[in-house]
Amino acid sequence: MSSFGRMFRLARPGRRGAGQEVDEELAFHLEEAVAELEAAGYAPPEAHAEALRRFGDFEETRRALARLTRRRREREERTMGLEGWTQDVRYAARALRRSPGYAAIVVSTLALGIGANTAVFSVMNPYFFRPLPFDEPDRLVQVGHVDRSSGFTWGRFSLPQLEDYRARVREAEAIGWYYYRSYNVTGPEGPERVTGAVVSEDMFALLGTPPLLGRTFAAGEGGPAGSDVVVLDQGLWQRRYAGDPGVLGRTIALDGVPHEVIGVMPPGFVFPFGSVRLWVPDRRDPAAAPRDVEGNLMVARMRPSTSIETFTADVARVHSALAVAHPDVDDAWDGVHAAGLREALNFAWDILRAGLFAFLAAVGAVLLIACVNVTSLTLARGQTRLRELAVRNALGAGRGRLVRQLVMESVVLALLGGTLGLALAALATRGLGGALPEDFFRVGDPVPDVRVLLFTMAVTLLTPILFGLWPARATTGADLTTALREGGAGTGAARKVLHVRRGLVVTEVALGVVLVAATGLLLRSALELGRSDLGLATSEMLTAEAIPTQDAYPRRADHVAYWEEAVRRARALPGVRAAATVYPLPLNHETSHLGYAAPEAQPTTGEDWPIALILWSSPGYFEAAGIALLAGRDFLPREGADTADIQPAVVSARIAGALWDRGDAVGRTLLLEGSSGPVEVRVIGVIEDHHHDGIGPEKDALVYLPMERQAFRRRFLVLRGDGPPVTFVPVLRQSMAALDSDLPVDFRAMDEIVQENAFQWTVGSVVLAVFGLVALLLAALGIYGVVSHAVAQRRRELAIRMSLGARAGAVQRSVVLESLRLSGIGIALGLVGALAVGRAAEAFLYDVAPADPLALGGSVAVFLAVAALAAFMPARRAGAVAPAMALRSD
Amino acid sequence: MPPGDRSVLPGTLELLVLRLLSEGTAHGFALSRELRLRTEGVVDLTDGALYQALHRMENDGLVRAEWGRSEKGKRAKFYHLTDRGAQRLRKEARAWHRYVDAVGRVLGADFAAEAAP
Repeated sequence: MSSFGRMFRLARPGRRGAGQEVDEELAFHLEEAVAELEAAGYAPPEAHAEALRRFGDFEETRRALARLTRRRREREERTMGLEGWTQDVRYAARALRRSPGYAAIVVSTLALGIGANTAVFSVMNPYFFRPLPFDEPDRLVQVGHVDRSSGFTWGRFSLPQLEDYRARVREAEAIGWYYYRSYNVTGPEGPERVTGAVVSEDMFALLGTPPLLGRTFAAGEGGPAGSDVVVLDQGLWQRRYAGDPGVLGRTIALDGVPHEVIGVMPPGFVFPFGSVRLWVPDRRDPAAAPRDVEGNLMVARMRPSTSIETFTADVARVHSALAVAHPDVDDAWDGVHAAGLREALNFAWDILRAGLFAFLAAVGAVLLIACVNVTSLTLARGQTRLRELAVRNALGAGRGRLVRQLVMESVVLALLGGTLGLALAALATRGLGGALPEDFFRVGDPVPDVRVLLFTMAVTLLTPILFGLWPARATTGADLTTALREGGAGTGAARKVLHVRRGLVVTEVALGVVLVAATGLLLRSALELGRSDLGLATSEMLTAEAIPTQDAYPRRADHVAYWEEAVRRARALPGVRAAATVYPLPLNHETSHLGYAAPEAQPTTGEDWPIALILWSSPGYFEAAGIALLAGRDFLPREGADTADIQPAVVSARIAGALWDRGDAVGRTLLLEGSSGPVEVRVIGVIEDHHHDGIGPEKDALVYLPMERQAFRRRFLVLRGDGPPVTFVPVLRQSMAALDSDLPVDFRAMDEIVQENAFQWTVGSVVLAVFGLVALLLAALGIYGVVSHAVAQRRRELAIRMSLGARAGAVQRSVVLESLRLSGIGIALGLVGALAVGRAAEAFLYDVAPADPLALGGSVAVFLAVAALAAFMPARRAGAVAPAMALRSD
Repeated sequence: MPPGDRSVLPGTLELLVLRLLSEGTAHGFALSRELRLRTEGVVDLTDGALYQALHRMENDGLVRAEWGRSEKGKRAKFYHLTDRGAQRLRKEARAWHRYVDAVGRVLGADFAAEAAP
């Protein structure tokens, strides 16, 4: 080594090799220079010196060159890296094409998991997560009176009460009120019944949403001195008025009363619920309104820094003061209650929320199963390609590169799965979204949410990447050579992987069992529900709802005559067995309640009276509804019209049995707890028990009073004939139109109403059934993957066993048994989980115990069958292994 | 040689190296030697400057380097011209000639260099 070598043994800066490379180049130069100078006659020492002199600043050059070299190398690595990535992707695609089965399974697993997750979140979005279309919605609350006997928390307020609250509540920035009702909208576009809301004139200002067109109510437009103006919903504006901006300033007739259209609200604005499509200011005079006519709902905007607890306390304080001042009106309520607007406006909040949790749990389970499956498959893949990896490692591919390639496959699969998942999510969102009734308060429509999709993709992407790294770590380096030598079957990493995969299968099966069992429970509930009767002839009932308007039927006698004639004509229609009117319709959720008691056994003061539902029907209703008369008779025409006489009543068997022993009720007097003391009615008939207000385990206590006495303007005509209800719609429509062509009538088959009410079970069951099925599929795939892989790994062992005389059948059986054993552990764990879930969801189960043997047993049976089937193919393969071939293939 | 004559106009070093490399692959020492010989000692730059220029040109993609064996069998870094470098050579050479002609037109034939002693 030349003397210059010594110079180069100093510390070298920069990355490994860069400094060395530079030094080597410069060393060469100087050696040549010295050689040349010596040849030209210089003595060695002078040659050295001259060479260095000619060079210039040696150290500076060396540093500069090192810097330049380092920069060049970095850039080269980057380009090479990029090329490497593209190569990896292409390689991954090729590898996947060679195993289309594996790719298909993983992609579909991912797609199902991602799609399901995204769909559920997207459907729930409008109900729970999307911000309300109001200004600072967190400060908006609804206040209700709490009913003493039923605990109902959305009791309404009267105008004088609202004025009092307005004046006294300190923690509110503004207080408004509303009630909703339906209007007959008439005009050149035809008659239509539209639900609208009557609101205090400051309600729009309180909500804070600016209109799309025109304006909302101005101060002074409410009250007796105000104006008949109306604000339209955007949907109504588009549909009925063709989105014409010229609608502003036009006059439309609501129940015959002309109203000027002053504004249109933007799309997405909803208050108080989806079907309310127009708003009018409250024109009543608070000063003249009676205190005990409580029909309005109170909405308040809290002060900026107030919490709902503080607000509630403040309102409660006001209530207490008012209760003292007005003992017979305000004190009749137990107190007041306030809740955020989102929760308050959604009358099915509890159901929805419980449903959400259920769906989240299901989705979480499916996602977990999907991740587990993909992980297991990735691990297996790492194993299968052990040999290939070993060879490539030996040929110089670094560990990092190999890891990257394995991971790249997972990435490609995840991208494919995500795309497919998005398509599935779009379909599922549309389907699910349509199944939920419109009256549930929601903001906008369910639309596939891309953020959720990306999040789910990230989750499912990370799992295989993380687990793809693990075998890559284990399958490089020394392990690889061992693996090569052992022919891939060996000890160490391979066995570890198999154990892990076994554990994953157990998890999968457990989760799957829970899901399928939950589905089973819900499905059984739905079945019981379907079987359980309302007690009415719902499949034969046709209902027609109409509200004779104030202007066309100003007096009581007018609308009474209308309904009488409508019923008479309906009865005269061919094929009609019975027709009558009733209020309210079964499952209409507008029922009145009163306490009832026998006069001889009146509860003492302080004791609560048992509650009955109060209904009004006209003669013939029981026949029309298919309600059997057990004793006594139905109402007679005109019976009960005279207010001087005691009111007749028909009670359900439950009441009769509770009060008078052997149901000997006809002729007895019944007391109803009215607001101003007990009211006497005389029992003239007893009918069989049936449901009216909702489908639940217990039948309602019902008291029917004659329609004649109350003579509601709004009634439901119920018709029953020979033949499906649908067939009577045209003739009935014609018959009622002949009476009054301008009066819109709503026809609905009773069955339709029943279906809608059972939705919470139906939709839930369908969705969970789908999830259950998906879980089943995934679990089956998972089991299949593990078992077939285990068989492949044990080929040698199996071959030896067979060559030693074991019969193919025995070998196959052992494989299947192994699979069953594995699944058995999972099933056992799953059963425990299923029981826990069943108990937690007890509220949702209709007439089915959480530990229902059919559902649980069914789930177990299904999974055992799946385990056996999934092991079938690999078992056959195991039995078919030709011993010599297996031994030789290494 | 008077010290002042050793200076070389900035930018021309690159041009000269490109030209030399257009004749074939060479290592740094050979380039240094050629430069001294061909310019008859007028261009007598420091080797350090040459190597820095070579590395800069390598980073810019005008030349590419490879390690090989010299005539005597020693490891050396050989440089060759890339397509980009050839393009740059043509461009810079044209510019140089235009510049020289223009200056020459102004100067006239006066003060032309006498033969070196």
